[in-house]
Formats: sequence, structure tokens, C-alpha cells
Amino acid sequence: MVMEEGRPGPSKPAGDRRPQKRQKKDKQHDKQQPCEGFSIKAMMKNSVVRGPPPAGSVKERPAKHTAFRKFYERGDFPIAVQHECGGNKIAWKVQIEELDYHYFLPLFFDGLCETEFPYEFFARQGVHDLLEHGGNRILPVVPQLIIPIKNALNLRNRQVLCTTLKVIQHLVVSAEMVGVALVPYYRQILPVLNIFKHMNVNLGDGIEYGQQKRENIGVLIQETLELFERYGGENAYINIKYMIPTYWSCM
Amino acid sequence: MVTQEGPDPPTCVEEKPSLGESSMSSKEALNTEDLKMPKDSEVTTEADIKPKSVRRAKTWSDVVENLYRFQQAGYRDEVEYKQVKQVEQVDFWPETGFVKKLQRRDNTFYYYNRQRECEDKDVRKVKIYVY
Repeated sequence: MVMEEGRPGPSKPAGDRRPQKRQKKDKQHDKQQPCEGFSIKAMMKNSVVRGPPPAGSVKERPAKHTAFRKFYERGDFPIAVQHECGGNKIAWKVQIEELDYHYFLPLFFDGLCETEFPYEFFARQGVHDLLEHGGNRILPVVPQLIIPIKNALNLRNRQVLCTTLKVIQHLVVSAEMVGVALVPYYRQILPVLNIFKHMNVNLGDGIEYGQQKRENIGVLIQETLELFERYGGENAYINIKYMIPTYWSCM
Repeated sequence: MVTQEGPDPPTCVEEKPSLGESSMSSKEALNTEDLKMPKDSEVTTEADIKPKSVRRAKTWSDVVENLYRFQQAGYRDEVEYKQVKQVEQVDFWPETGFVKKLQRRDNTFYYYNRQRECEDKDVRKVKIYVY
């Protein structure tokens, strides 16, 4: 069938390709192309700007080998593990009263970054024993403990966070004026607590059977901040509020 | 003269009750004999004393807590610890009265918390020795 130009042709039969070609062209116009923000392509009509990448504030960081591990493998620590029926226990080869806290306490705090046995056990239990029996010798060493605490918190590891928060709570109540001595270092410790402060579990009216284990990070952070405020003196609350604006006073 | 008479009356006094005690009960006679014994022999008798019976603890108490701590360090109780280590006093926490530090038989040290360490599941494992 010959079609003359300029004259209207016959009615289009069903199944003609011409409408399909038009649909393809419309799809190309309607198709949105994702692109990065702040670029020339982002100025186009059919472009969609992708959201910002995740910052990874809650993402765990890889842990490096610590000085605590190196010193333990070298045999510099006067400790040994005793396997009891109720659990493991540390036996000290030297009396804690004779130890140099300026040397040992920062090393044990450095071991808080560890997650493997026996390093994690020795660090946790060793810190506990040293703080329990330290007395007046803890206060002069507090400035040397800030960097190990900060390194442990910066790992963002949940287990390490729980352990470090419990250690900080013990540190605050271990001796007099330690809480006040920690106030100038809030700006180094509290930012990570601000990130994880919201990590609570909403059970509704359910029962938290594992409450005594003290593994809820949000609750631990709240307890730690309250101890900071109670034992930190007059300027503690304002300094905490500066770093964690959503914190409310408990006194 | 007076001094010579001085020691006599006490001895006389002591002799009189001893004579008089022959008619008294055996317990009181034993008590006076104990009083006369010197201190060194008392120490040796305590060291030689061994427990007569053993029973298990059923409920927790301060005594059970201290026994738990001694037995965790490898001793029966405070008596054996003082006998083995030749120590007059044991380190206790002033606030709670619990054992603070013990030296084991291999000369390593165990340090204990201020608060309770013996859990309810471990109370049954604590042995109470009766002398």
C-alpha cells in the first residue's frame, strides 16, 4: 500500500509500533538518574541526588595489639590465673601495696581494649583489684589514665564499652577527689558516651531478665554520668551538659 | 620481811582453793589447771587441735562469707591459716569485716572485694568445721 506524503494515512492498525516508540521516549524523560550531590549533574531535571554516606559513628573500629598484651607475654606482670570452680581468679605474685601505680595502672587500663582471653580477663580483673586496694595512690595517676580510656571508648565495641564504663564507675568511687580530678577530661571521654546514650531497649511492659548482667549501654552511660555529677563537684553538671546536651541533673 | 611474806599468802591462797576444789566439780578443776598453764603451751595446743566434725552451710552469713574466702584460698578456716602462715592477724575490710587479703600456700596473694562474693549457689559448698 502506497502512502502519499502530506495526506493523512489510513487509521492505524492495532499493534503499531509508533505509540511504543513514543512511550520509550517518555520513559527516558521520566527516568530519574541518581547522582552525587553538589555536582553539575545534580542540576539536571531528571536527576535525583543520593543522600550522604553513613558517618559510621556507631561502627566498630578494628582493635590493635596493645602494650598490655606485649608486656604480659614478656612476663612483666606479677599475676597468674587460678581456675576455680566458680570462675577464674587472679593470684598476685607481689602484694598490691608494693606495686608502682604510675607504671602498672595505666598499663592495665590500656588492656581494656583487648577482647581475647586471657588478656581481657587480666585487664578487667587487674584494674578492679588495683582500684579496690589503691587508696590514695590512684589520684596522682588519673591524668595518665585518660588516653587509655579514650582509646577503649573509641573502638565502639559493645563489650569493650560495657567493660570500660564499669571501670570508669569504679574509678570515680575508688578514692576521694578522683571525680573532681576527672572534670577537666570530660571533653575527651564524653563525646563517645553522647553517641551511644540512646542505645536503650524498649521492652514495653516486658521484664528485662538480664538486668543484673548490666549490659545495656544506655543504662550504663546514664549511671556513669550520674556518678560523674555526684562526685565531680560543683562544675561537673555544667561540663557534662556542655558535652551531652540531653542529660538532666540527678541531684 | 614483808616481801618474804608477800609471796606466801598468794601461794597459800592458791593452795587453799586447790585443796577445796577437790570437792568441787571436774569442770572447775580443769579451768583452774588451764589458767595455770603458760601461753606457749596454749599455742601448741591450738595448733594441734583438729576439727572434730564438718557440716555444710545452708544459708549465707558473714561467717559463711569469710569461710568461703578462706576455703577459696586453700585453707579450712582462720585457725588453719594462722597456723600455716604463722600470722597473728588477718587483713579484714574495716567497713564490712570480710577478709581482705590472704596469702596462699604457693605464696601468691588473693585479694577480695569489700562486698559479698559468695553467691547463693556457692553457699552449699562452704564447709563449717566444728572444733
